[in-house]
Amino acid sequence: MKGASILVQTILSSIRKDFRVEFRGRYAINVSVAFAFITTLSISFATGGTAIRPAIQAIFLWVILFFSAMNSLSHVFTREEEESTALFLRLHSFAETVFLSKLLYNMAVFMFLEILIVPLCIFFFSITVIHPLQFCITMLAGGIAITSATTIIAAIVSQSGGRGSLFTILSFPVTLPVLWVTIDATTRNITSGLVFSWNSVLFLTAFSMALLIVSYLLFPVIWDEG
Amino acid sequence: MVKQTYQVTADTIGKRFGNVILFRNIHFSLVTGQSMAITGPNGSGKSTLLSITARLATPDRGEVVYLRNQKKIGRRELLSHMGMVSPGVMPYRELTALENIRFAFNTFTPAEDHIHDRMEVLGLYSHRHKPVALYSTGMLQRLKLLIATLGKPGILFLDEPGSNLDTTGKDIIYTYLNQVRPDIILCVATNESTEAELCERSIHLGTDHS
Repeated sequence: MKGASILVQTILSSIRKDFRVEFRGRYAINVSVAFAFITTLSISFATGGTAIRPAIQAIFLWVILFFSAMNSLSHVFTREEEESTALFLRLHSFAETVFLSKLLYNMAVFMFLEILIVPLCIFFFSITVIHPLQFCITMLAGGIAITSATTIIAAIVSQSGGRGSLFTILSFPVTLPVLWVTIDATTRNITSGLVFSWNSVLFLTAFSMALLIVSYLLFPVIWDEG
Repeated sequence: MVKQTYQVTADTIGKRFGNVILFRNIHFSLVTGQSMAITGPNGSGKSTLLSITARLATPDRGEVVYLRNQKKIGRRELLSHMGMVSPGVMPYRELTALENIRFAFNTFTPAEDHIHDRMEVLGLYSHRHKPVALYSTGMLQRLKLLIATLGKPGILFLDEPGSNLDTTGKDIIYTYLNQVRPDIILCVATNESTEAELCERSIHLGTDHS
């Protein structure tokens, strides 16, 4: 019990540290938010007020979310290598603590981006949410699935050169099933007459769980040997 | 309180980068109270050997074994018994000195009075709330030393500890090392003869080992 309490405290301390470091620099978050605004406005101007089908609205929403988040999600590990703090972190934290704290940090960042981007897309693409509760659950499950898949990739990529572009390239095929399912589920939430299926949420939860277990087991090998 | 004793044994350690053999067949054994300097010209592998000894890097040949009170300890346990100062170990620039210390020691943060005393000795107390990004290179080196030694580690690894330090800073470190040396294992990678002389033994790389 004491061990679990210490683990929770160290994870919280590590998340607090990551937020402090990130928000005092604000580089990655600012780039993500700026990317989201620019792409949303560009698409909105390009379509010029033309009615967009719900399926296309869902695709735009998730593509903007995915590519906006890419910079922030990888930054949590690449920053440690670029600023030579990775060894400091290795000396003072266990691998499990680092993985869980970075994962929770990435989830929080993705949720933050969703809170900013989703209302923006709803406004500019004139999206009508038919099933608000299911829509929110889909956004939450999709975000968790994407961060579960990409956190371990960010750790691997941070050990290599060409980090930024490599992260997006490697993450795309892994997250493709997630994007496919979330876009379909989102379409069903914003189209009248279509039935929402909970199977999509079940798939996203199972996908997240499987990747989290594998990542948790593999991370010490990547981190300690890096 | 029972005094902890440590022993480190390096057996036929070898490291190569591509076709270049950095060093091979390095043997040494140190127990608590003993110290060793790793010397040699630039590029001879001093920092690499120090990292391998600290089990932060993997050798191509051989192994490093640690004993604590005659019982073998793994890499994970070793982390809580060692301190390290190296150009590759950087505290977070966006955090203040105190925030870095609290993060590094987490749930085992030493008493505030002890932290303040050590900061005072190293001339960092008045800068404790300043982000590390605003520190000079000398102040940064002092902070690294503070963090590495604050938990009173049983094994201390120092890579060029006096680099970027003024005479006062060097004096503080050398006095401190002379004080704690009987109770720890000390490994220093250095080109400075003053630092090498702090240790009773030395390994010179770049000649007989490569």
